[in-house]
Amino acid sequence: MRILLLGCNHKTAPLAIRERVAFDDAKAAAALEQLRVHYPDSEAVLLSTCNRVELYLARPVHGHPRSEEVIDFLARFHGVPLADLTPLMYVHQNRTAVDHLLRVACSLDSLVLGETQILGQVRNAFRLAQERKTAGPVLARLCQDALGTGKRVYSETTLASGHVSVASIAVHFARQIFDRFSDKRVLLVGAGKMGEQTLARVAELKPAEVLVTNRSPERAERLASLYAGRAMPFGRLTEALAAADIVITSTGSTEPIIDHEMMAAVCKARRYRPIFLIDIAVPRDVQEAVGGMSQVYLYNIDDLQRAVADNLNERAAQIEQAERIVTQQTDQFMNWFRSRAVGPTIAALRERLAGLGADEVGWLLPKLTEASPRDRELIEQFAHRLINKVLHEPIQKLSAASREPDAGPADMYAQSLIQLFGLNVEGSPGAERVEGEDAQEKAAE
Amino acid sequence: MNLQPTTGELAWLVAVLLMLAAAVALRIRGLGAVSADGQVDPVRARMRWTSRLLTGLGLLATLGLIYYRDILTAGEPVCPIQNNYDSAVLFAAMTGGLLFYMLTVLRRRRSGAPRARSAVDLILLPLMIAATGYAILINLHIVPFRVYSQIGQGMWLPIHLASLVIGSLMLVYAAVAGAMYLLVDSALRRKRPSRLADALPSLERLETSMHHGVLWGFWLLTLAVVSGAFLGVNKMRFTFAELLVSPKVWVGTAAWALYALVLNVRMIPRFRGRRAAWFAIAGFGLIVLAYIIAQLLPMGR
Repeated sequence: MRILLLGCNHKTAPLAIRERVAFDDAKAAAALEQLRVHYPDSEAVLLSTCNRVELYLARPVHGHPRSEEVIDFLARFHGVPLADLTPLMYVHQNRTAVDHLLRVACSLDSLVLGETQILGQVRNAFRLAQERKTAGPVLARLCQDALGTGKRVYSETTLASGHVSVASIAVHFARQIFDRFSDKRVLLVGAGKMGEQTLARVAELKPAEVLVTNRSPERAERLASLYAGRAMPFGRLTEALAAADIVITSTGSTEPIIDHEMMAAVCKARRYRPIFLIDIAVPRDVQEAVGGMSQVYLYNIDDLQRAVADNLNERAAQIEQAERIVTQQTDQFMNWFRSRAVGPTIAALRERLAGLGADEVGWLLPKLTEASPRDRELIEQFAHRLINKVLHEPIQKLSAASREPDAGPADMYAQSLIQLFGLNVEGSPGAERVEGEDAQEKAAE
Repeated sequence: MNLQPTTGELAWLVAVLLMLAAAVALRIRGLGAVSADGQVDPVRARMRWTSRLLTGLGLLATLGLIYYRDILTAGEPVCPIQNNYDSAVLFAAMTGGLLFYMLTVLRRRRSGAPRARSAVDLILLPLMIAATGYAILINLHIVPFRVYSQIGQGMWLPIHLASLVIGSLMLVYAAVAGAMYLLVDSALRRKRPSRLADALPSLERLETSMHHGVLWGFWLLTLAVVSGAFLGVNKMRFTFAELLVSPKVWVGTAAWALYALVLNVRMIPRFRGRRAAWFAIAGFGLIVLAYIIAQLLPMGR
């Protein structure tokens, strides 16, 4: 068998193309069904996320589909011109394809390093392929190994630790200040997109009340109603600040709207209870001096982005360890895959020599007319033992080579045996080399 | 009555000390075993749990020593609060108990996602180690407490000693919460993710803990001061003039006054937060000073 991967991702294809070739579950099921009907000897798993569409195939070495047929299938399925799709697709086979899927499952190939959602998406792709009966022994083992590798990387490294979005890091800091949120009020000042996103994340803490104030009262009303909150006139900002414990500011103002003097009055009015100010506006909405006040915790967009960068750096420091795990797991899979592939070569070799032995014994025995039954038996045993002794060394070496991480020697031995003994073996690594399509697919890759 | 610990008892304490030191070393390396978003680092988690195990064993060993000296010493029972050596061992054991209490109580969250908050041991373990080390060192200079040896049985002595010991422990609790408050506050002011701050409770919870510690500690300390004054005047025949020149009385009263202030700063809004934390730590410092004076100066005793 040969493992093939064809796909495009956020690095090779723009969003405009990715969204056209994306599969939802229903489309993926339909595509897998079509593949199963057209290529019954092949296995297929389809992974489609917002950042990638990848089709994993395991098919007989001489079989179909070829890579160009798969790209053509994807283009026709989505109604995308083949000429638009072809240059954006990458093609990997065998080890590189396996390595790629394992890296994908660990989020090493993701837009956001360490995002764990991808593991669920791989699991879903596998489940769908199992349901459509397109995941055979090779791809089933590959998907299970990919899921196992993902789990191992997430448990043995801190690749997925720390928050990597401005909104989630803001929530993280809020949790260090406050213990419970059921008695806290959240105030959104301004109704910019970034402010809305941050409010959505903070609202997950289930605060007692959400207040929104904006120069445009209608917009404030609309946003407040989303969270069953209350809109307040922008003119009553000081009053709103005194009532709130977490404040998100995101106005388009060119001057700070909250200065030291205003905040001093606010702190006094709230009897110096702690207040968390998240200023994500550019230019800033809160004067810098406010951050130095007692019981005031002020974070602007730079502070939050720096904290995100720290977490990303922390994750990046884990890449090497994660890569090491992926390499180990890839080696392990390839060992299994190769040992599965050299099995038929060994069987064919045994069969070939046993056949030769039987022919020669068949030629000799009729000529030995005076040989006793015991002599005949010994001659048959001799032929059998000789064949076994001749085969012992090459089979041992081939088996040992198939367990090595480097596929070269196993391929070379298998190919030599096939060529030298004229074996007819389906799916052996040696057989793959005979095929001219290798060169074509490698050129495509 | 022979109060001097045997070589075996001292070796026992040295073993406890080594166990606790190993627990601290492992705890530092295991910091951040569970990140704020719930990701578990298994290697660090193992270190954290080994550290907890060693702390637990250290606590049990200390309690075992107290039990042995108090109950099992043939013919001569030793009370854990009648001399400086045994009281230091008792203090180490009580700090260990407090540690396990804080690990349980402070980790609970009322809302939001569960988070591991477990760096309490990094603050309390050094105190437990200091108390154990002090007990080992002081064995060369065992001092029986005069109040215990002179007064004998009666209601006021248990009241005085119990309120003093439990009150002190409450004040340790407040000071530890104060120290943790300052750590979290400074991490928040640095505006960078911090493993230590992630492993500690929120400022809100720490402020509440600090307040509860001071509240209970202050009232128990008040009871200790009143019962101590009563014992001093009525049973030990001190004159008021003698009490007035005693450094122990001075420092003890200063600590009491400081705690009275700390208790009230929560009601004075401007003194909330960092200031209250510093007051809680300073108050504990004064309590330690009063104890040292009581140990070292003849007049203090």
